[in-house]
Amino acid sequence: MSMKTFIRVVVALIIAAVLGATYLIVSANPDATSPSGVPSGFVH
Amino acid sequence: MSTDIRTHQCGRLSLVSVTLTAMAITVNHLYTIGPAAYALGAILVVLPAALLLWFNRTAGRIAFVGYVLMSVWIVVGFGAMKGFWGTALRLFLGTFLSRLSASFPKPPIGTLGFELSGMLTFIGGLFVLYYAYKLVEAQRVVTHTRARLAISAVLIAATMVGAYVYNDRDKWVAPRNGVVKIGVIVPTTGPYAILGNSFVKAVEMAKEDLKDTKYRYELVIRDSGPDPIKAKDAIQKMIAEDKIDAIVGGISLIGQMTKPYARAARIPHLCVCTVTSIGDGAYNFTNIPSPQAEGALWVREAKRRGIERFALITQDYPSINNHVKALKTEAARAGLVVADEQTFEADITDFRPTISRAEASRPDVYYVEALNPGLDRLAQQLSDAGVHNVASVVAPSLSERPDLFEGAWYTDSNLRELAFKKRFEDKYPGTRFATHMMPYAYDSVNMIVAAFERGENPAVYLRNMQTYEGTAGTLMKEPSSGNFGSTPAVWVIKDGKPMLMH
Repeated sequence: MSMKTFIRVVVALIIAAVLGATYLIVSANPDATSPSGVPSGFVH
Repeated sequence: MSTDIRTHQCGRLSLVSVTLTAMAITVNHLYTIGPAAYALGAILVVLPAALLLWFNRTAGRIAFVGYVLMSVWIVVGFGAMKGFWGTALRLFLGTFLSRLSASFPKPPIGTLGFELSGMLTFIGGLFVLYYAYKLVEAQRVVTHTRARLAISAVLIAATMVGAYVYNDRDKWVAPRNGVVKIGVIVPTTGPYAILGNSFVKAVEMAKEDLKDTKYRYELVIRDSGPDPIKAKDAIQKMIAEDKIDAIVGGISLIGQMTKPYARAARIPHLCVCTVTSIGDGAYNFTNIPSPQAEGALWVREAKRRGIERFALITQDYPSINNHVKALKTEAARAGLVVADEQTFEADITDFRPTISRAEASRPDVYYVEALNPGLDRLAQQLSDAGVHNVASVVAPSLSERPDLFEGAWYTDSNLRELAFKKRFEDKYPGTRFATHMMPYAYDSVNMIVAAFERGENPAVYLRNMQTYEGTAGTLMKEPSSGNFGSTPAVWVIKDGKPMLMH
């Protein structure tokens, strides 16, 4: 395996791990918060 | 390889990364700005493609600079800010910090599609940066080495991590001019008028009971009205214009509207609400017996009375549906049979067919729950039909004709001392003491006051709190939970008045 291929495989694995971790975090929080709950431009 | 060939190769890969990232950005923005996200996506796809095509044909400087600027916009505006700061740091670092210390709030977490598209925006941004750099390098307009670029990127990322940690921590800030403003938002008109007005009096009583406090406490009372959409204006005005430091609210429909505003303003919101999802454990907390606790006690009392079958006649309404759901779960566990189940809309006036059907199922008791005017209409028609074996959760205490419920038993909030209720009624003779919410409204004000008097950020104080000795008994909260729970009690209507049984 060339160095270039090796780096591509590592990058692909990192991306898969990050997306998998995102899935796990979201699954552990069943009460999804609406990201649009507060209108943009709202200032405290 | 010649400069032209390398430029074309890098340009093609750069455009692929820009297009894929623009797709992730579009999906992510669909959740926040709706269909307008398609327009954003079209700009992010078409404009770079047109600029690159122009550059490939003319090798013009304007086209090249334009394309690089588009890439910078995607890398900084979306990849770094939306993807890295707004998604990756929030999800991973925010969650980690909140587990480490209550000084950090639990981050809000959206749907899987929203979060994955946010992460892909971040990852895509890195590819856009890489290929944009390769394109610029191919044009030989940069003299930096790759190592210097990598070090700069790592330093920027580390700075953003540090800034996120600093910004995410809730710190104690002494109130302006020594005045703490507590916003009170409940509907004092419409079907909730009895609850809302009683709620306002309870928080006023809590404020008047304060003695020798370090800070001065002001109540900013706003009528949300019964319509949650219109309530938004009142909530927004209270936070943005009145500059309140905390919120005490009631009624789940209004609490659901208040929740995102309290979080955005980073002020605590104690809601006397039964919808437990309002309590996020970060800035929003519910404070009332849970539907599960009400259901468990109701079933225990039903068993004690030898009840085996019951009929449900309830209004279709979120908090009532929550009570019914919990009640049915507990009943199934205890072996009680639901003989009949009917729900009705708020505007129904003739309950006779409903009552006849329930009677035909021969229940031992009729479980009735509704809001007025439907509640008293139903109670009147049950009485006319000779049905007096009625039970409920909370409802009879909200009736304007409690005499219609004579003999009915129900679960409702407990009271540590009946003297609290008497004191309230003596102080506000024209206002009904709605047992369901009043002790918790009173306690909620005192919890916020306690935080400020201790010199602690009130949201952090509430996150750390696990027990509170309140007027309705001991309130308890699991660590990291946003729901203060307490044990309800059984009440009965005797001589037209609620009486605490046990």
